[in-house]
Amino acid sequence: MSSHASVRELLPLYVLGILDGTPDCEIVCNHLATGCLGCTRELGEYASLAAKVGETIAPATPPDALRAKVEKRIAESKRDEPAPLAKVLAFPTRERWLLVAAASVAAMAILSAFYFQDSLRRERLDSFDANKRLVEVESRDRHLEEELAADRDVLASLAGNSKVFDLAPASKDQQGSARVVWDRTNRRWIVLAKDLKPLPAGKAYELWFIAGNEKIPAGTFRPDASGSARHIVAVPEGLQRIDVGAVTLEPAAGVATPTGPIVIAGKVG
Amino acid sequence: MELYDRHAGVILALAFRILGSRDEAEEVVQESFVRVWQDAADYDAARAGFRAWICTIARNRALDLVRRRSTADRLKGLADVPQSGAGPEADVSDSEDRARIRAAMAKLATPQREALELAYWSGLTHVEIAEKLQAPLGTVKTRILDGMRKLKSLLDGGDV
Repeated sequence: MSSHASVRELLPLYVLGILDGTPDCEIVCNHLATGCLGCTRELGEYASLAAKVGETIAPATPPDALRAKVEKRIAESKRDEPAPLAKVLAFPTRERWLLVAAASVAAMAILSAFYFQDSLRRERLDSFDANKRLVEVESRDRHLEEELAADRDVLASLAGNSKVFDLAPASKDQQGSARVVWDRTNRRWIVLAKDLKPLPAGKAYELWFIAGNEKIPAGTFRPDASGSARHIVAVPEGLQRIDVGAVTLEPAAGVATPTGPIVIAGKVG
Repeated sequence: MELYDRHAGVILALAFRILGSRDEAEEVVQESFVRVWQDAADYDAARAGFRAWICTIARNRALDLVRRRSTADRLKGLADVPQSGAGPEADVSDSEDRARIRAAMAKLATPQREALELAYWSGLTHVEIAEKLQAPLGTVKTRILDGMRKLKSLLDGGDV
């Protein structure tokens, strides 16, 4: 198996089509077929770059008759079904090349070689596209699976021994809210926050368990671009009573004692 | 057909530069737009601009035709291929993008630019390019690789 580094050096040549029909081309094809994310991305970058070389040319003026010919060809063409993913990932193997060459007379062998070279070039870019889509789909699937698992976790907590209460803005200058699920079975809080303001640089939101006058730090979290956040924290052993949950704005690493303004808060009830 | 009006001129020029034949270049234009029509459902604008996509299709079709010629004919045909920016085309007003890419190409070392242009326009394999340039195969591959990397760096870095 060729090294990843050696394949990367072949990618620009592969994109330009100058490796077609050579063992180096098959090395690249086989490597891309493994779904290598890094090489697939890099291949896409080089493909875009190679296309730019073609765009350096100033346009010619097409003859009037050419437009009509294009329209006619499109009208006559039959729209093909897209090839199944398995088909575009299935490259001609070395054994297939050899079988075709052995089974043909000289002229037929040359024609067959041109046919496979042509197919290989087309499938090269189709396969790059298919690999890129496959990687994107797998990434989205993993993200969705993670979100689904987190939602199931919350539902399981709600079904058990739990208490639910809300955190609301502490003043009219503040924004955001949160629903807290106190999962007593697993001794943890699940905080589902939304509409929080974006954080200034070097800052984080910090959660607090407030029991009487005691303020116990319960971890920091950051909202996503939509202002939502999910924060799960264990309730310390021995802490039986919590009166209030609150979130303050603190330095990014968190603090042992609140220093910033209270953003949202609520009684445990 | 709005796409035709916007892109046919570039596709025709690209195909003609590779093939040197008006008839064959027009055939490539037709085949490229038919392919675009047939594969429209698969096109993803996030993956590549439309111009880049159709240029790739057209180049592949043109190279298909070039590679059916004999090696001798292909090597001979190279004598008439103009260099970047030369010839009557350069008198046509350029888009900002085109000028930027041309400027980046001009910044490449001559051996790199020469090898890269042969690789893109000629339809020659890397072995044939080495023969044309009378250079070792490894040297040619390195020139093309370095040329592409330098081009990428120039265009990504905005240093053009």
